[in-house]
Amino acid sequence: MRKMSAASSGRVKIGDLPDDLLRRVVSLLSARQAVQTSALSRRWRHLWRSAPLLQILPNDGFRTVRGLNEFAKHLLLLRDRAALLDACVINFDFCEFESYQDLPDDPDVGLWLRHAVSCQAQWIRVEIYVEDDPLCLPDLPLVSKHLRVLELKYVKIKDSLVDFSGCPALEHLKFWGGFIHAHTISSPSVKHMIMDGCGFNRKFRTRISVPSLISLQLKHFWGATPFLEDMPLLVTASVSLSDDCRDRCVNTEFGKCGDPGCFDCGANKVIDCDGCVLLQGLSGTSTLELKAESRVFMFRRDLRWCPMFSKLKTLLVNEWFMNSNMSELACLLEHAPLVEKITLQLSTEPYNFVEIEDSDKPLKQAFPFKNLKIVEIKCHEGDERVNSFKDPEPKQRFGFLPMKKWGLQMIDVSERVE
Amino acid sequence: MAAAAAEATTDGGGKMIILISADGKRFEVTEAVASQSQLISNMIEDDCTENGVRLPNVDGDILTMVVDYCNMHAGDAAAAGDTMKASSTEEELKKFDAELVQALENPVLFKLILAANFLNIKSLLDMTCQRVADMMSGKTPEQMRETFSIENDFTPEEEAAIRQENAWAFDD
Repeated sequence: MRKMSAASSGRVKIGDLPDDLLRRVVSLLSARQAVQTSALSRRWRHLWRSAPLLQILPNDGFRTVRGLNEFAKHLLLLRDRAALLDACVINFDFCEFESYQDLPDDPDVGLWLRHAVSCQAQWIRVEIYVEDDPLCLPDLPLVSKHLRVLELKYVKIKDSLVDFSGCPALEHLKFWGGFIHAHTISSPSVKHMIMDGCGFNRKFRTRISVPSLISLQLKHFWGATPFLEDMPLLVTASVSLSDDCRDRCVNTEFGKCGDPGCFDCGANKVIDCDGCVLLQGLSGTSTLELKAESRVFMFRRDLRWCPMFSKLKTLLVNEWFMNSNMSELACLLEHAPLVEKITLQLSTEPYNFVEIEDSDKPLKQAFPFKNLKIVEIKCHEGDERVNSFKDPEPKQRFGFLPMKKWGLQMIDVSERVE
Repeated sequence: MAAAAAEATTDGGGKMIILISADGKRFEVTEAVASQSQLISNMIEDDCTENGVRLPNVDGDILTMVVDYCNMHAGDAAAAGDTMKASSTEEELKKFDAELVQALENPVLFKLILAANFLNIKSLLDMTCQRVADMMSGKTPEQMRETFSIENDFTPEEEAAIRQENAWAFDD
């Protein structure tokens, strides 16, 4: 390590930083600017070649896809191949290109991705925005002993790429937006996975096979709900099903309403066998959030095969359970003997709540919750639905929770609007 | 400043250790605060902080900033459990960080980078290096030289040759 002799003797200049630190600064620039630092002085001339982070960014200002491809070809050929990469970021907005309309070329993202992998990058982020039709990454598996974090945003992904058996060190997997057209997403090693706003195929269920997973966020996807395989190590999970989820029906609680005019149950119906799609895979969690638009029936359907949530302590649900005399919530709680805290989050926008015809199921009898300590209700101020929980009369919908008898604490957090 | 910093950490508990700057200024901080420096964390593990930690490479004024930064960020891990708390703290931290680096004159910024590197405080090193990169971003090589007083030691012919060689990165 270089001594800080200059530091104590007064004015320190950028040239007093050791090469490693200058390389670090250079790698924080976009790739084009990083190369341009070669013209600063002799010392800077070759620093960019061995910068530990490679970033192809929107502010590089490429006007055509061909220009971008040419640039990247030079960049990867002239980089010092022996210099290992910590991370690689490929990020641009396709719509900025003049040639976007007729798309004569596709960016060679697959090639850059493989370069990053061959330079042992531990962290790779690809974020490419193309309106309407996302850019498709090559249908080839990644093979790397070093890749730890992979983030893919707005791109289309096919089967082979999401088979991560060739990436034994991969621990963090994040998908935002984009489209996952794959029958199976599998990794033996991934511990934390986020899927937010992704699209899945409408006709088949993508199987998610990540047995080492510890935390999962699955939010606001469109298409058919993916099937979660067993995840024995899972501790926390948050699943949020939006109106774009294919498993919904405005007429009935479980779909298959039989109305040929029903947009939801008509064509493109997901072909399903019996059995749990989501809940079985989530049954080992200790903290669980289950949110859905009220016409999405996935959770209600899954509860027919409700597994035991034998470790569950903290549960959050929104208003999807407010049908059928709340027998679904009762069923869920019956299978979660250790639950300590329940949060009921009522949407701040009441129009999201669609009353679905109740079935004539009998009310659940109150049953003992030995561990339940807190029932928390979150909603906007003045939401009348809260009253149905507060009423101690067993005829009311929430009667199966013996609030008084067990001395439960009801916290009304209606003032704490989400 | 140093006294205030030490006071702010008393609720964090843990053993206190003394950091001593190149010019002999003493800073009392908790082990939790000081451990954000990987260098000091290793020293704590090896049990050699008894008589204070001498940092002959770091001036008192720079160490003041480093200690402030570490005090501010010591709560990170503790707050992570509580999402409500973490989000508000995160905002405060971002503001604190932004104000810290933006106010710095170049020589002080470089001293802080060298200190963060020596003490091995990754988040502070990332943040200060990012500041330098932000100051370079969008500038031509000439403007970069001017901003950072970099001496151009190329002959005009050499510089022209380099631009020619890397024309693919200079032309649009």
